[in-house]
Amino acid sequence: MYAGECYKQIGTSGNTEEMKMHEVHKDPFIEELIAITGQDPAQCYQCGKCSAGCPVREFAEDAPNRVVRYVQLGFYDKALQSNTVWLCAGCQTCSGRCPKDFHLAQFMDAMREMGTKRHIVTKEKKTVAFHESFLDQIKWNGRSHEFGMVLEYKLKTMDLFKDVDLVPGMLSRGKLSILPEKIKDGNSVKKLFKEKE
Amino acid sequence: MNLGYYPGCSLEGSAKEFNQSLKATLQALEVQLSEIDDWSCCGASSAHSANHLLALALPARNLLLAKKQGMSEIVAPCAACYNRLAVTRHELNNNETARKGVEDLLETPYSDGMQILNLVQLFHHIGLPVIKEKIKRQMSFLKPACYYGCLLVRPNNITGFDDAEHPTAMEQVVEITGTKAVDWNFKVECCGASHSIAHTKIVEKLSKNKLPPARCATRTSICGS
Ligand code: SF4
Ligand code: SF4
Repeated sequence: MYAGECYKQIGTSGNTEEMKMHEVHKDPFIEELIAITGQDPAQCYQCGKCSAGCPVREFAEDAPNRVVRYVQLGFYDKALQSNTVWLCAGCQTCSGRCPKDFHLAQFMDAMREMGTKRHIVTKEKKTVAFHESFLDQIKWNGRSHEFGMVLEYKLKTMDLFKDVDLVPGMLSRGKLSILPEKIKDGNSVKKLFKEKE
Repeated sequence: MNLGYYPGCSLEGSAKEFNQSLKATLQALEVQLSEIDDWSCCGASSAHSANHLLALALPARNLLLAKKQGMSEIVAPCAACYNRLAVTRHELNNNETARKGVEDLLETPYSDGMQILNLVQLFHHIGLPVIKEKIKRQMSFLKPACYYGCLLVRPNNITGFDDAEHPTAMEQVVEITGTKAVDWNFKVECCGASHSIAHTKIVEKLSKNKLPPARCATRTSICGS
């Protein structure tokens, strides 16, 4: 039985207790998602309130609730490949307004984490490059280093000239330092990245 | 009053003037800040996009350092840092699996006892009447529009210091300077900040959206935290 059939079956029963579809089919994807977020995607009843207030809805290919729907129906790759997952700005407007208390922002976090783990190819390469460059600075220096982050990002995306006109002004106002400020106990931060690798 | 201080990376770099003006203000209010020694980055929006345990372990390291250094309250002026620290504290106190995972990564047991304050909370904590007494110049010539954005007020069950859709705590702070904050519809709307490097156009659009409504009500400044 695939997740869609399963959803239809339990969906018609009308018993919300029974609507925990992971308990019925023990799907490893859903199990992992629940382990990360502590919530079952079946909880969402597709009212669309989240998407109505989502600031990036107009830029993304799928409405956020549609990504949840893909997962409910078992179209996991479709969910992970949707650029909505990476365009989500993490503003949590959706989570705050959901009548079912579904923390959609956290669901989106998990989609990014699970997509990366599965080496899903996304169109949002720039966003991925930004996050990687940002985290690398923390791993190497213990703190974010804006100059190093932008440099790494530019090399990753080959978007070399964007915003370079801002650099002289920021340097002269002391807002940008060429060298990173490293913390004393760098190793204590480096080891936290073990989980991610 | 002596408080722990978590400046966060931005206040040492591109938001340097925020750090300077905050320190000058608090000095005038006789509030001492002790910076957490050897603090590290909170991971901001990148860590929680990468790994749920990393996203909690990075702020948790700072919470543990603050505790070790004898602090019980820390001020985090950057909204993203405040949010990550508050979410982490909440998760570690309420989610045992997450707490165990983080303790394994940090190789240290976690114990709570830390209050995390954003700036709006800090000013209320100091006491608005106390601040009012020290104000030297009335600012009635300003018509500020208070901007909270996302991370001061959401998720409401964790930040919880004000209404998530229509907060007024910042207005109360600015109004002690003799000005009247104007009412507007965009105070908790997202500016898209996490995309400022990769999708400048989105950020431009989301931020520009807020300016015409601000201007048409003859607002002369937008204050945020
Ligand atoms: S608001 Fe909640 S229940 Fe409604 S579609 Fe969005 S996530 Fe689902
Ligand atoms: S957290 Fe993401 S999905 Fe939810 S409203 Fe904000 S941008 Fe949209």
